[in-house]
Amino acid sequence: MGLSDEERDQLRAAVRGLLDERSSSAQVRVLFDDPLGYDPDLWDRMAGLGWLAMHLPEDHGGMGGSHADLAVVLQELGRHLTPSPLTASVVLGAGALVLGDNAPLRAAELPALADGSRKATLASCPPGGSCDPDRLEMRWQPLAGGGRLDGVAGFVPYARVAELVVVAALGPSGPVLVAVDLPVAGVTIDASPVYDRTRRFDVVRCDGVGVAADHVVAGPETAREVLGRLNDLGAIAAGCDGLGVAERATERTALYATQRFQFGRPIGSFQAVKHHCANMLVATEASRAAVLGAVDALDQPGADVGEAAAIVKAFAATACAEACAVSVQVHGGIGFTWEDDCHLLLKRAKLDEAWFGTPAWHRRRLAARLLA
Amino acid sequence: MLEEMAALEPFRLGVRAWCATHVPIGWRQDMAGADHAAFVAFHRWWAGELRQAGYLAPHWPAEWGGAGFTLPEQIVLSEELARGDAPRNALYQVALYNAAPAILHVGTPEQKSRFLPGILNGEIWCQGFSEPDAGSDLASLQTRAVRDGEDYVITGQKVWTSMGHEADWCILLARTDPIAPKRKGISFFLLDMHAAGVEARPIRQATGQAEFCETFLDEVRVPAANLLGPENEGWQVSQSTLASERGVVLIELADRLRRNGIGALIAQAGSWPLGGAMAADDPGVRELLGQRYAEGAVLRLLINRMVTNLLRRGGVGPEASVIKLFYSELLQNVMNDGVRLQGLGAQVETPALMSAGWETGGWMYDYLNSWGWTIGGGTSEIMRNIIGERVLGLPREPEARGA
Repeated sequence: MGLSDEERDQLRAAVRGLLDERSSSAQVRVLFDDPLGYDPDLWDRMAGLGWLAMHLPEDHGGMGGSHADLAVVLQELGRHLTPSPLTASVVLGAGALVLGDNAPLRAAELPALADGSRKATLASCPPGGSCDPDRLEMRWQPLAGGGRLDGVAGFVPYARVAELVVVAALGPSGPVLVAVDLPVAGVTIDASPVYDRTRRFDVVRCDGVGVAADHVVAGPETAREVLGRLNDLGAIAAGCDGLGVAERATERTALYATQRFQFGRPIGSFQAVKHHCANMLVATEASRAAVLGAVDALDQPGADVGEAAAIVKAFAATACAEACAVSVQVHGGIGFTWEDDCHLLLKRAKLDEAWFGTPAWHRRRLAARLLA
Repeated sequence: MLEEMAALEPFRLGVRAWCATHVPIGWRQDMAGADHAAFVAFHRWWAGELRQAGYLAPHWPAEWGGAGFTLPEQIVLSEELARGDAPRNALYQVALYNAAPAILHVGTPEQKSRFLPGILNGEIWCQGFSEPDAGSDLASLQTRAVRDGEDYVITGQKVWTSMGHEADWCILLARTDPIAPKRKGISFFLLDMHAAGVEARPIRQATGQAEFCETFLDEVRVPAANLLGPENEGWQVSQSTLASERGVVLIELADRLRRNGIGALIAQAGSWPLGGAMAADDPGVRELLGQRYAEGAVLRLLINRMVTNLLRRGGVGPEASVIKLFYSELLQNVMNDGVRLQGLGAQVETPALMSAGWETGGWMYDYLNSWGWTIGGGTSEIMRNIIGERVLGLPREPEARGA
């Protein structure tokens, strides 16, 4: 059972309050050059408040709540441009363990992810960033008692600060998912900076890394489906993030258009500018409907999560990024500077747009379902 | 809301069964190229069918002959009428969703008992708001109403009066105080379209059909008893009629667009040649179809959110403008997609299909008709002004001096 509407409003106010205080633009910018790339103190505060564990199962240290509760936290992280390994650890890493079929490993690992004492991540893309399992460049060779990993994965979020990485690899019978404790000999992790400096991505290379059978998260029978569901989960999480970003962009752009005077009038009184702002609001509200609809699908047994996730990517991911793009235009020259936050919002929304499959990929995926 | 909807499953099945036995088979064929008299006769008959089932005025309280359905019941009814491809009840939209809510909201007991039964019995209403010089700037309307004894004497010209030549009654805005600021000198009248001095002349539209009229009012006497709400407060009355049932109407429109617009586009793309294959095989077209499907789903999710808010808080806010804008532009885009993908085939003039609402199946016809939504009921530009000013709090554009 998740929170009631009132409780969720209170949760949002609490998350927003903490992040207003701990994730200001100045604080976010300090982390651009930080070796960890996130604020461990804020991480501990969020963990202590239970915000990492709301959606995780109660018998493994979670709070047994709904994804709708987690979605509040994800939106606020986006809204505040907060650098955080939260999506990597409790959406993707924990999600792999929950969706996979290794119950002992799930029982062993989830409590530490739920209380924030350990962090996980997911390596499920080739360096080119595709979300198609057949394009993986990590190889799995089954051996007696387990197997070995060789190859490379890209766009692994916060790998350098993770203690556990769930790796997707192509084996002789198709993809598998296996868990690797970090650090370990044979795994090298290199930073791969992206334009969105509020996020950290790494390239993970495996060179003959041995994995015991008890660390196989999903074998060839189930891994393809688990990977698909993880990608949907990630797409919806990125949708929540992008929604928070677009909401912030829309609000601050409307404020700017009210305060900035040209020709003796606030620029927001000119229809050309007002209509840009209205388009941002429409994009944000329509995206909210899409994203929260998908979050509800995650919480409803039997709902079509795949379609809901594809709708988020096909519509909301692009709409949120477009809202941020219009925001730069409305801000004029100041919106083009490093000093203003316009570019931070745009870069984060553009990353969210591309992560877990491009809008074009998801639109064709919808078409394939419709035309089947 | 989900629990409430789930509990309505028996009701849903009841409506579905009713649709299966009552929606006339082949009505699309019968209405293709139908003349106006046949169209009106068909709608009068269909309204009677709906009335007998209690589905004509689902939102009215039972004391006035409505079904008194709860909002979730109204939603289910809308969904099932769209699902069952029932003819769109176009002739009675103004009566049921504009005139009746205003009368229910501010009408006197005498006005309610005089007009509401007539609406249920099939009287057709039209809306006399816009004028040749008062479109987007509706509040600058100039039609004058002057009190003379027990009557008002009304003179002026209205335009875009849908179904004006068929209508029995008209909800009319006219100026009763020419000196007051423009929004404060307008009154709301219930005008008998058969009264002396009323003349409705059809206007032929871009589609070739003549659904609208320009309406001339030459010293028409309207009894003071037909003033709705207080004198000079007509603007407020007209704004207050954006009632909850509009949300339900939107569900029907959205579901029809998804089923008969986007669904038809996806289905027909398989039969339109493109290159050496069919349009549905082309990656670019497939991407477009996926996008439109997603947009249709988002439209419905937006409406669901509005209806949920309505259930929790009551009243529709400016989010209705967001939905109107989103719907109008999606409708126009989908019809344009059909025109582009079908190619020259879409340019062949075919008999207009009456009663199908905004999705007749003729892509070019529906494309032309879609401006009825991006212009009518407040242009997309006015919607953006409303969103900018009432939702985002942006300053109004300064008005020209003397306006």
